[in-house]
Amino acid sequence: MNITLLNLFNSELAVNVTLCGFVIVFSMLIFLVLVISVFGKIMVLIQNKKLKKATNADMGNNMPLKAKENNADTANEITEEETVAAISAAVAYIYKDSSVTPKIKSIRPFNGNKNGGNTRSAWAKAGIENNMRSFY
Amino acid sequence: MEVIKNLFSTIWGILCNSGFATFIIKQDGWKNIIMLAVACFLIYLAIVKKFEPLLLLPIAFGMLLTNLPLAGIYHPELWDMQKGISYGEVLHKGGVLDILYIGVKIGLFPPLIFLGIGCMTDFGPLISNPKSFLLGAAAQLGIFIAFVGALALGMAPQEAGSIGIIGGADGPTAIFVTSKLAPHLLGPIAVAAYSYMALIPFIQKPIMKALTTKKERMVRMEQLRTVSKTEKIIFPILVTIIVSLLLPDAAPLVGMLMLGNLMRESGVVERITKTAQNELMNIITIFLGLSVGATTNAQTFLKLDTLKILLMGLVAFAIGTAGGVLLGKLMYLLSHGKVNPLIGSAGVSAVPMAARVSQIVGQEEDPGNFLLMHAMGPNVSGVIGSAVAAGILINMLG
Repeated sequence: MNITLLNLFNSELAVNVTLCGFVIVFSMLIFLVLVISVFGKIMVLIQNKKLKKATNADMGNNMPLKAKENNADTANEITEEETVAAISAAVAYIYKDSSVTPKIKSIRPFNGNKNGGNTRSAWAKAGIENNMRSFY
Repeated sequence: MEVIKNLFSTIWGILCNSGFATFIIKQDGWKNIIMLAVACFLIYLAIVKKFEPLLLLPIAFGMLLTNLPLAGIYHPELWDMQKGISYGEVLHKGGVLDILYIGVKIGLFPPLIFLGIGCMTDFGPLISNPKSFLLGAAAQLGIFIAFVGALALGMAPQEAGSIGIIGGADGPTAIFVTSKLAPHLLGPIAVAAYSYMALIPFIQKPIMKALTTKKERMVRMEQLRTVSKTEKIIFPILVTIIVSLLLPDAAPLVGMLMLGNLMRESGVVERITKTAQNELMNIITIFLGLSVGATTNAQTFLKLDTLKILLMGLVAFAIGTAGGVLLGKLMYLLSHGKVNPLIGSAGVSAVPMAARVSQIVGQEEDPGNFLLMHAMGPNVSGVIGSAVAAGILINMLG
C-alpha cells in the first residue's frame, strides 16, 4: 500500500515537474525571443536612420560636383549596357548547340549574401578551419 | 638481537598502520582498490584520449586521492547531511580537499566558472537570430525525460532532478544543482556529465543522421546580420533582469554568465576580463575538479545507483539531442526550408563542441556548407536554457 502511494506520488510529481518545467523554460525563452527580436529591430531602424543621415550629408557636400557626376553616370550607364550585352552573349554561346533557348529575366550584382556565398576573407576561412580541426 | 627485534617490530607496526593493511583489514577495503583502478582509467582517458582533460584529470586525481585509505585528505563523515554540517569542524578537522569542497557546497565554484564562460562567449549569432532560443529550449527535453526515468527507476525526487540535469550537457550547472539537491551523488554525476560531454561527437551523430534527411542536412542558411556593439552590451543586462526576476533560483548562474559577457563586450575592463577567463577560470577548475573527484569514495560510487546515473545520463543526452533536432525539423518546415535541422542538436549547452558536430555533419553532405556560426546561436542559448531548467528543478524539488 505504501509502495503504491509512493508510486502515485512520484507519478504526479513526474508529470508536475515535467510539464511545469517545460512550460516555464519555453515560456521564458519565447519571451526572450520576443524582447530580443523587438530590440534588434529597433537597433536596425536606428542604424538605418543614422546611415541615411550620413548619406544625405554626403550628398549635400558633393552638390557642386553633380554636373561632373552626371557625365560620369552617363558613362557608367553605357558600361552597364555593355556588361549586360557581354553576359547575354556568354549565355547565348553556352546554349548555342542546345535546343534550349535561354531567356535572361534579370541581372543583379552578387555580393555573396545569399545562401552563404564564398566571400569570406582569408582570416574568416582560417578561423573556420581552426574550429573544424579534429577533437583529439 | 633486541635492536633487530625492535626494528622488525617498528616496521611491522608501520605496515599494519599503512594503507595497504587497510585494504585487507577494513571491511570492503577491496572496493578502494577498484576505485583506484577506475581513477587510473579516467586519468588515461583524460591524458591519452583527451576526454575533457581540463576537468576529467582533476576529477580523476581527486578520486584517486580520496580512495587512499588513512590519507585524511577528504572526510565524508564531515559532510553527512543527516548529522548536519559544521563548517567549524570542517575547518578544524578537515583535509585539503574538505576545505576545497566548501566552495562546491556553498555554490561558489559553478557560478565563477560561468563568469569565465561568459567572458569567452560571443552571443552575436544568438542576437542576430533570436529564434535559436527555441532550439536551446527544446534540447532541455532530455533533462525532464531523464527526471521521469530516474523516478521510474526508484530514485528519490531530488536525486532524479540531479540526474536529469546531466541532460543539459553543462558541467557547472550539473554540479550546482546536485550540490543543492543530492550532494551524495555529486561524484558519479560529475563523472557521468563530463564523460558524456567528451563523447558528444559519438552520441549525437547517429541521432542527427537518423532524424534528418539528406535534403534537410544540405540546407544552406542565410548569412546572419551584423550585430552592433550596443546590442551586445544591452543583451546581457536585459537577460539578467528578465530571467532573474522571473526565476530567482537561476540568478547565480545566469547572472554570473551575463556579467562575464558584459565585461567582454564593454571593452573597458580588459584586464579583469582576461583574469576571469584565464587565471580565475583555471584556479576554479582545479579546485572544482579535485573536490568533486574527492566525493567519489568507494562507499558512494560503487553502488547500483551509479549504474542508474550512467544509464539515465546517456538517455538524457540522447533525448536532448533528439529534441533539438526535431524542433529544428519543425522550423525547417515552417520556414520553407530555410533552417537546417542539424543546428537543433547544438541546443545542448556543450559549447562549442555541439556546434562543431553540427558543422561536421552538415559538411559531410555538402563540403561548402558552413553551419558553425548558425549552430553557435542554439549552443549558447542552451547554456541559458539549462541554467533556467536548473533554477526550476531547485525551486520545485529543493
